[in-house]
Amino acid sequence: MGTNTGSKKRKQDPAVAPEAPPPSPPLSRRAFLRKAALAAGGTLAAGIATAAAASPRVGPEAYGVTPPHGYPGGQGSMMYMPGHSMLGAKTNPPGAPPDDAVPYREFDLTFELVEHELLPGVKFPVFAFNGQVPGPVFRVQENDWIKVNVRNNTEEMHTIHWHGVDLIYTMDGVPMVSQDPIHPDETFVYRFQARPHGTRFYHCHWGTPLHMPTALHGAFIIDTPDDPIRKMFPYTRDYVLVLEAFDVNFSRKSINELLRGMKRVNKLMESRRLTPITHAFFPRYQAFLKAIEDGWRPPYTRGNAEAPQLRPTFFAINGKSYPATVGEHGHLKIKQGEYIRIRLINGGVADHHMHLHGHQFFVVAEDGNPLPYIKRVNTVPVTPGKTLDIVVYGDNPGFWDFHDHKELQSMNSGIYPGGMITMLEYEDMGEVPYVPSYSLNQ
Amino acid sequence: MRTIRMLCWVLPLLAVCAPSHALELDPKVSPEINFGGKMLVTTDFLREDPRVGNASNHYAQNLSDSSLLFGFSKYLFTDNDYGFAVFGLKIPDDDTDLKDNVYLHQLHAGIGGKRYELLFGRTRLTNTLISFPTVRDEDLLAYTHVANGQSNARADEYQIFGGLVRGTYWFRPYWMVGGALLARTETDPADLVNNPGISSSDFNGGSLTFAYDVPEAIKFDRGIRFSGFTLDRQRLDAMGTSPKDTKTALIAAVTYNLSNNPEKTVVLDLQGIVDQGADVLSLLSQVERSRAKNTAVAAAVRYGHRPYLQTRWFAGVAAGWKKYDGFNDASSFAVAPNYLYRLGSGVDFTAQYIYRKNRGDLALATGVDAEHEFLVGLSFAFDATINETVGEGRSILNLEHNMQDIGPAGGGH
Repeated sequence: MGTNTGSKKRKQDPAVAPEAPPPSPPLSRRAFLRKAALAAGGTLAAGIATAAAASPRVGPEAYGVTPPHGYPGGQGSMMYMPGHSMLGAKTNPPGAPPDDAVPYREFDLTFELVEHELLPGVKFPVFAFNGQVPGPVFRVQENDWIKVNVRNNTEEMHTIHWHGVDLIYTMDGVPMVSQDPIHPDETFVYRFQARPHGTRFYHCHWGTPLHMPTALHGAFIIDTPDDPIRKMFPYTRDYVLVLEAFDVNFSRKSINELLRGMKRVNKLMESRRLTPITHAFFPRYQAFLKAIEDGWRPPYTRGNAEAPQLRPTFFAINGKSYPATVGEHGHLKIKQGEYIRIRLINGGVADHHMHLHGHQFFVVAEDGNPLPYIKRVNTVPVTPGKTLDIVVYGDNPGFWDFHDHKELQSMNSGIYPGGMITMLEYEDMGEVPYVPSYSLNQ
Repeated sequence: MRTIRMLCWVLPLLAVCAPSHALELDPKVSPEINFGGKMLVTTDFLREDPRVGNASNHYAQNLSDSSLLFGFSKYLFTDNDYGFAVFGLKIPDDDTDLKDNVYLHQLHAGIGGKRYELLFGRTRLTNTLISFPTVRDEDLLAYTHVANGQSNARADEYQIFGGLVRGTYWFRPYWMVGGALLARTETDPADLVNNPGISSSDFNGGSLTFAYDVPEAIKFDRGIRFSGFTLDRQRLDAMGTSPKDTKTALIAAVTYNLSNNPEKTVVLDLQGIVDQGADVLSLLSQVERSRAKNTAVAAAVRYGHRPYLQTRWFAGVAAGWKKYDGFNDASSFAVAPNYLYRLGSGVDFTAQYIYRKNRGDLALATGVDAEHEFLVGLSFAFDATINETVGEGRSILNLEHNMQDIGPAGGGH
């Protein structure tokens, strides 16, 4: 009885206030004993029922949200067409103006698999745009029409998400949400208008936890002649620092496993021996539920997979770990009385707390958008997916460390100093009493 | 004064030995640790039909082939090559000369890189090429492995494992050549009753292998999936009535995909052994049967039920035939249909029936006309990695027999 009562209570619509129960009549002794026995049985049953019962299925409105879209799922996707092949295909997704309607600025990109050297002695395989870590910097003007022909030269699928750019949804680069994944040997054409201005970036959105940190990301800078930050701080130099966290062992293992698997998958796809369900693609949620009923095992269940462990051990700025940050990429440079702008982009999976010695810098933009107020700090947190623009004023000549103050990330595989360290150098110091050298194992 | 002079010597030494990070030129590197193993428990029913007399029945719980493995690896200074070591123990069959023992079947160290591997120590001998779909490694041992001519023991471990110095080189990811110096276990020629092992370290043979393992991209295409051959040579000391001699065997094998449907795989395994053998007078003892000139063929067909590319169950039938030359119709054959149902990752229900039949002089020598063996059981296999630093490699369980494995017999790290 207790079970029934509880069950009924759970099923009540929360929007309807429950009525107060009627007062119980007095019980005879026999009736009391019978009721007590039933209650005891009911309590036992309640325990079992509580353990076994699934949570009640109620409509999404009961949780304050809405049902899914009413469109036929998978419309516009090739993935559900039997025997489709994207080998050699050039895909021009709908939604953007045709080439002769607007003046596109055209760029070419490729997805490549390369061995990247983080610093001398440490190489590991990465997926990279144009074979470069990070990908090439885009510098465009606000409202420019952009056309990017991206060709997939790897055996894995990819997409490009233009992070922080307000574009046509079919160009947003989210697989199976706004486009099909870009297959091996396929060229996909992104067309969109670059807006709003500010520090944006781009990254792969297929298998994001692997592809974005290793190392499919790059800066996408949208300039404007009316830049309010330049008006406030007349900076003369503009630096882009993409902050990265690499688990080189995870990359080696995952990419090797993935390539082995993809070799089979691509061949099976080519010979049309795979179905969408073998990729875990479902046009509708109901199709996913039906597949489970039919015996398909979701890959995330306890019996099917162990959780991958991503543990970055190398941290980098623009693809290099200290000392290669300064040894190969050089210093950030400034002169006395000069403003410089530094665009910090977190392209990885770790939090970074960037600290500049000897200066109080200005935080001027977050996620590419100018801030309504200016903060003056010497350490700034840059979390994954964020961009922060800072302006440094040259008022303290010297050589100054600029590094992640989460010090475990200023290391190379546990050896300090390393990782996310670079340097700000004044160019107009003349004779100096002390010049930096390299220390690699403190 | 003497004390001060001594301190002058000792203190610098202590400074060098102390774990001072900044001064440590060769800091400690913790290895990647792989551990794994398999618990295989079956309930066996065995009926033996002797050549003379009544049949006998035997019921038993069988734990053999259960094992525990510990692997360690770390990168070398080259940063591309790696070193490894494996320590493994295995439970032998209860009905052998190794009863109540735990056998150290994997005890080796080595180095390797993308294209090569060098291995020193005990592991699988290079006396078979294909992993046949049987519940246990030894179920069709007489047909699948070149016999050890130096052992008179009833111990399958002495047939399958031994000491090696083995080098393997991959021309491409799928073409391999390997050479090995072999130290097969030798039993005491002076005690042919108890058959104690006297050496597992004396080099007494060698092998040369050439194999082709199909590229990953076409693993599911119809056609050859694996093929290879091995030339195996053994030095034989005098034992019982068998004189000092040598014997050479040639193994050739192919695994062939009969189906190109990855959700319904059908694979044919075929291996032949031509063993040139040595002089023997009879087939009475284990060592004589191991040394006798013979031809053996093993074959299997297995079906894999893999809807949505998720393996559910396997069913197969493996068979073997062997003929000893120089005797009167001394031959045998065996048939082993079997089934495996995956209950979970590494947790499998298995069942198998084996029929073995001896003919002619072989039945006369062994006293056994036929055997029926039926088993059902459960297998629990696991592997895990701690401090994963060396990166992607094959599971340590690859060193063990597994009826789901298709292609080359276990080996490599």
